[in-house]
Amino acid sequence: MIETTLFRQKHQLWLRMAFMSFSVNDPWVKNRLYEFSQIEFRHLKWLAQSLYENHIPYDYERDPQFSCESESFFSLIHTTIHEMKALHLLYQDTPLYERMKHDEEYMLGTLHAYLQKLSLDEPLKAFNRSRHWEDALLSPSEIDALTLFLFEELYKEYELIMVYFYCQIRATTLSQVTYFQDLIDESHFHLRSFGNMMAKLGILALPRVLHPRTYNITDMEKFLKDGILEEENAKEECRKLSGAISDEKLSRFFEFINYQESYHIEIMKKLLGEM
Amino acid sequence: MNQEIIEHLMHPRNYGPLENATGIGVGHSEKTGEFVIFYIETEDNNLKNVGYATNGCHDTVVLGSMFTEMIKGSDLNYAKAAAEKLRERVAEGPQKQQACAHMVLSAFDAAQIHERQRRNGSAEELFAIEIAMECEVESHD
Repeated sequence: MIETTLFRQKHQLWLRMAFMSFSVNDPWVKNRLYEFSQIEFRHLKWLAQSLYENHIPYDYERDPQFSCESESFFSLIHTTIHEMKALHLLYQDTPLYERMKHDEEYMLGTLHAYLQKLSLDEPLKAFNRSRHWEDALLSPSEIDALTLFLFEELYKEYELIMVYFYCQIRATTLSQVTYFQDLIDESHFHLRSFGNMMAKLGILALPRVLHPRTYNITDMEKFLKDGILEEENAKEECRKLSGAISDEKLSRFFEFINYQESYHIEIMKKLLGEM
Repeated sequence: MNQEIIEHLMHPRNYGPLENATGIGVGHSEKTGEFVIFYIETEDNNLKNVGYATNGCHDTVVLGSMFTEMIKGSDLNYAKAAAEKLRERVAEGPQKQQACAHMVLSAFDAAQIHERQRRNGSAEELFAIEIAMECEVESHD
């Protein structure tokens, strides 16, 4: 079905933009691409709403060949331009698709402009596996702890975004929609922070594809109770990492994330009260 | 941490479902909601293809990636022996790793049971084994 393919490609385009933003070195370009990724995520949300309302199935599958890895920024831009243009062939004549196309034509213009700035075509460090943290001197065991934490949490934040997103589309009250949006926004911030840190360490990689068993929620109450348990585990992981890392700046950052997880639990409790 | 582990974390091998799976098994914890789903495609007692997916931790991901790589293309007897060896090896390690390996290997066992059930006419989509061990065991210390 064309809509299923379209949804998968939009999902990939959101990831493409976000991970390209994490991988690039120039801070202005990084921020611009992240803004584009957020626009793509909103497109994805509107598309999911439309498909759900029209009883058209969609899933979180991705092309097995889909990768965010490259040695050069320009090569990533070329891939993105190609993917975006291919996507436009699937758009139909509706206000939603018109909006998407209009946004993406502007994005294409920006990407083409980047290709004119030869200074941007520097080798990307995001995938070089160096595991070197430039901002502070970390011991090998600190680097290992940070590496494992980032792999674990990048996947978890992606999983949370996509599961809350699935639930939000199926929410039955306005307050449920608002609570899920808060949780999605929080996880976007964490995904961005961890993605940028992984790129700094040279270990940026896409999160694993979600199995439908992860997001096809049949028992919302159980899902929320499990989610609270998972948030408590995430808090514990943050607390352990904060304690294991001697660099004050990094340690404070993980304490800050840890504290944010506490409020997620409160939002989830509010959602439980709504059930 | 060696480079091989980093590669398994960045690009887990044999990750995702198989189109022509002959057996699908799940190892899961009802308590935490964690699972491993294992896909096998056998032909003449050989594991022609294998795949797995999980919502579990990095240890589960790496173990699943290494184990599937080890048994892909081998005969079933070799795969069963490899599973046993892995079980013995992690038994000496931390409890958390034991739980992760247990989930991967239970899913593999479940896939083989499912395949046998299918051959006997069952129409079930998969076979699931609930495991009592928890992957997050260390977090509650």
